Amino acid sequence: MARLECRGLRAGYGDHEVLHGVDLDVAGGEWVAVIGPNGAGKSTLLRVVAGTLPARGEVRVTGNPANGIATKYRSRLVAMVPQNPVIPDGMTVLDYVLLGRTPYIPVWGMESGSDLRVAHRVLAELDLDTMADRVLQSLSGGELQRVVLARALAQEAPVLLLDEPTTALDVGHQQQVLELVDQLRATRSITVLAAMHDLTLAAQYSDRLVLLVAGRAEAAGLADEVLTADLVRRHYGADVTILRSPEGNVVVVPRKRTGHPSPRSEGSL
Amino acid sequence: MSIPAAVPSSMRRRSYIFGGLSLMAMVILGVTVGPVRIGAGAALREITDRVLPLSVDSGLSEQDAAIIWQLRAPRVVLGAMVGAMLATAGGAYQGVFRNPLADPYLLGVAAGAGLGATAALAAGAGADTLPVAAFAGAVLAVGATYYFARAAGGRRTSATLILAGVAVGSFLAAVQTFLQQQSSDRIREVFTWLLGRLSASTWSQVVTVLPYVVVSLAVLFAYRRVLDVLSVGEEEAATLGVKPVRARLVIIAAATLGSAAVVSMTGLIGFVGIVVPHAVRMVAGVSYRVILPLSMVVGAAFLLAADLLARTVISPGELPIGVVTAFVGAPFFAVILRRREAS
Repeated sequence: MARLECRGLRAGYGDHEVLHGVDLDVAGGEWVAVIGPNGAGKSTLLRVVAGTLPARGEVRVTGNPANGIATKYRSRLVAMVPQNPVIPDGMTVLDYVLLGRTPYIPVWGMESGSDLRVAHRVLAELDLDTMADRVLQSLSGGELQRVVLARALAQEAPVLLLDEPTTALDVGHQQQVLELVDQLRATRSITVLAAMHDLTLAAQYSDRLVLLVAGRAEAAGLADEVLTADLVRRHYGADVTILRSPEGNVVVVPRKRTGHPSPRSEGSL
Repeated sequence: MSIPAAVPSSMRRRSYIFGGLSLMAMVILGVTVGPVRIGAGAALREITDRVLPLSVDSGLSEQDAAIIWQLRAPRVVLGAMVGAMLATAGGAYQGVFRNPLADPYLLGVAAGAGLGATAALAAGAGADTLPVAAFAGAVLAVGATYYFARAAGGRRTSATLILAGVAVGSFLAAVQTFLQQQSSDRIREVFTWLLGRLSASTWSQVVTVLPYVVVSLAVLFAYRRVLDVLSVGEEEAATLGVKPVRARLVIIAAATLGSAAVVSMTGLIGFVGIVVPHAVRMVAGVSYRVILPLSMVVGAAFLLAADLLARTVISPGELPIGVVTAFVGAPFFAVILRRREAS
């Protein structure tokens, strides 16, 4: 199983530094959720690990450098499910999933039989085999998210990055996608690093949380250690109540502030 | 919103067969149709005799054989190369910029070649220096576009490159207009060149253009899968193991050099680079693995068909081929725009 290590990551856009030296470890087969307020640098961190944004510092996968190496080899180590994937007009599900085989195909080459086998296996695993010939535009949001995940899995990389994987989905599809990732982590021994907005889901599905604030890892640890009302207030500026579900999971519930008249009560007449 | 249907592979196969048969038909018509009629059978026998290691008596007079070999064959071969090159380069540009309206002239090839040719004519240079001047102008113009886009910090975004192309193109067009004003006595020659022509095709032109077209088409053909990968955008392409900036540079360089070479020989033949890849896309689907090779074949057939029209409509006179391609291309372009709006 692949261990992901990040040391002293500094990165930004132009002169604007977003990450100010982030250290992060994800053990082999572990799921770590990166949480933090908007603009904290969650997506930037994932970009750096995926290698699409140049950075200072080190990214290692099982001890081997994963940044500063050839694009092709890096994409065999790290696969990414972007937050807003570009969906090419008119492309079929199978063709799209086959794009995930690019790291194994020479620039001038075409897919081999083994690439096709991998794509079909992934489609079957994600219950998409009946949709192979469908056009991407004809899929629902939940199906599309699974197809994007399928493309990342076709890369057969030991580290999977998820950038807000459930933002656009309803509660049923959120659960479906996260359960799927959880299963795959077990069956394929994948190491997962996910930027997550929903604190309750992050607490529920990940093994550990890393709280990123203004480009620095402010806290890291188990959900009950990181998700305290005090920490959430300080960094998100939100009043929350931390509850426990009957199953023992941490639940973060926003609390309505008193003293602000609701628009309904001061409204008409 | 209308959802495009996936194209079955049988449809793709049929498209290749249709494209190949059209091209063959156009080649045969191209060598037989003209002021001197030569029978298709005799022409085929003559070609078989010369090209294949077979000895067949065509029954053609020496004069008719010369018409085929010295006038029509080079014209057909050059026309096919130009059509294949412009259509494939257009398809590649559309892929690399993810912009369905991109064509091979997007980054300044046309404006640069036009200015090069105009400057050469204005300076009193002979017709034989025109291709060299046009080629130099085209390559310099695209170089300038790339330079300005980089200087603007837009190395990584194709939108900056397109905008830089617009700026360079407008500037060069202004200089060209000025030069035309200054040397109005040669303006007719400039216009003839700008509208494109295949009428004076020779084997030496074919031989000059051939290496550029072969190398360019080979590179674009090799990169057809990479173009599919680039369709998910540069950032995602990078996570899939493609170097988007380098891939884009290779594809643009190949498409530009090939287009500049054919444009410098035949003048500006418009719309082929847009019409053909879009027609192919409508029939055979969105994958560049199909669009590029099929555009080569259909582009060649399309330009030969346009050339047939150009030399028969007002026979014995000839229309500039650029007029014919624009006449067919512009309405088709409007149809594409309507379809895009509708979806």
